[in-house]
Amino acid sequence: MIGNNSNDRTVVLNDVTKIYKSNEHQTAGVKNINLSINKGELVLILGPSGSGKTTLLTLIAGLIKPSSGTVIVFDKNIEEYSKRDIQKLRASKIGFVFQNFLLIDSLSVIENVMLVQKFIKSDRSSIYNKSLNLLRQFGIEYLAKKSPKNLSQGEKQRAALARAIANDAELILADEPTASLESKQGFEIINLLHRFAKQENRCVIVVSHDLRLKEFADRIIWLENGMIC
Amino acid sequence: MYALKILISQKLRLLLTVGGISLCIILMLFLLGIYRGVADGSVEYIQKNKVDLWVLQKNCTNILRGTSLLSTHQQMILEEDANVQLATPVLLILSTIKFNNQTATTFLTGYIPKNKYGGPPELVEGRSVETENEIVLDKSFAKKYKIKVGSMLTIQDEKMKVVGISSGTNAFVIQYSFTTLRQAAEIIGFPDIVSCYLIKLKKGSNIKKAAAELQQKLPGTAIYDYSQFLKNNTKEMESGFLPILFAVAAISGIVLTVILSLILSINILERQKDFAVMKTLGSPKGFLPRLIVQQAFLIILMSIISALIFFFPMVELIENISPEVSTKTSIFQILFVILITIFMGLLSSLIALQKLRKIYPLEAFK
Repeated sequence: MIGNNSNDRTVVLNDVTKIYKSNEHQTAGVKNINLSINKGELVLILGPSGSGKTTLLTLIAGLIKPSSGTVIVFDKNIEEYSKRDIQKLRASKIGFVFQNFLLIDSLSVIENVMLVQKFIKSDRSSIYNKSLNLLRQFGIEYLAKKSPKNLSQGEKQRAALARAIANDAELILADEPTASLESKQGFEIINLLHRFAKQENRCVIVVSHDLRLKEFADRIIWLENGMIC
Repeated sequence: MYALKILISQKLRLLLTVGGISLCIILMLFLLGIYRGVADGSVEYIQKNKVDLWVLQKNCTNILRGTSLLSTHQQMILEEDANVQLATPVLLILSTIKFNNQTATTFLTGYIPKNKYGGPPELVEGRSVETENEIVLDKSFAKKYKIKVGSMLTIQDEKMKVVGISSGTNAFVIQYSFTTLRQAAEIIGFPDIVSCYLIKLKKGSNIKKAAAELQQKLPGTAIYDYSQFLKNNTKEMESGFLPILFAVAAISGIVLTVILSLILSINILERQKDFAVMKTLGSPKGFLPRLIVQQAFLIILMSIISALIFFFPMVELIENISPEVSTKTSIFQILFVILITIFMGLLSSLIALQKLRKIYPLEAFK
């Protein structure tokens, strides 16, 4: 197991294996993963398609349960969280950046940023002001009322990042965040994530197969066939 | 409001959905209006000719769908009874009217004009019949065939002048018309036959006792007090034609539910990824179902408003095209339809929610 002081640990995986069962077939998503990720750290999980990167990410997010081993997030075994607590955990402590960003087109940019806060708070005006501040920080305040479908890829990535940190997330899970971007934009987003990890002392886990991101990572984990190499 | 934004993002679909549901609501309101209009219209003749007793042939319970034949000689027996103040005969026959090369069927009612009872409940134009060869027509009947006061028409070979137009005489499938008893008897060719007697008792008479005494004197008859006779006729109408209206209204409600649940399901399927993202981001348990229910209620609200805007002009248009279609719409009926629609809206969203349950957060990572 890799790690520092237990108080700094945001995510700990102990001998985690995830097996997918379909009919009579069994496929291992990840096998015997031991991993510890700390606050203020940007960890890059690299690997080819089908290597288990996304499985690892969804295990940490509590979206799936391990077949064996333990996933500890914020000092608690993910299996000990109730369904409702897991939902609350994701809404209040975890931020997500998806491949292609997956902003909701029916909502304006600011409403996308407000959405996740609405899951945990009810004071609309403070949610609105905070979201506007975030957009200001990312330099896209002027796009607040626009629909995401009218945004450029670069603008979308900033909006997606604003949404990911809107709930003051202590853990950011980014799934192939640079996949649909040109290299300049790709560097910009990883740079922003890196800055967020360092300045805010948050834990950032980036899953990618983009080797160019290596230079921004504090640690690189290479996955192949569901195992850490 | 996200629910509203989802709906507005597909304007044409929203318009068609609201249009379809509005039409279902209008149809339900219209059928209930016809129901009330027919139920009231078919017994208005009895209500307005409010006598104490109705005497009909034995086993005949109503005048709408029953044949009653009584002898004119029975009038004397009735009039001789100590409790009876007035016994007036009425002859009801289905007759074909010829007018301007058109033919139409009416429920011709022969009565004795001077006796006050048995004639048109309300005149909206002209006067009541006074002598033979005069006729009063129902308002919707006259409007449909464009017959006016002063027009001449023919029944059998008898030429008759329209002297008045009545209201409260539209039983939807048939409309009443009025002439003298003698004229009606001549038309059918049996001068000694009437359909029923309307009895007005002397003040202070006990209705039940008087009915029992008359029954003894006229064994071949059936005697009903006013409320029983009204009930018999209403029941006859409700058990015959009116259930069909309810069946169509129910189908309309089902169509409404199907349209709404289909549209809600399509909205869910189209936004499958959005919902998966929201589930991943940690949307609380009730957040997404509430979104679907909100959409359903927004559609319902828009549909109710547009239905209410278009209902009354549409009814007026239909009544102009088919005057015999008479509707009566009350606030109670409107509230009833609104409640049904809200219930159907809730049901539709419950059906659509099944689709939502099958969306998994992991889809956001595909």
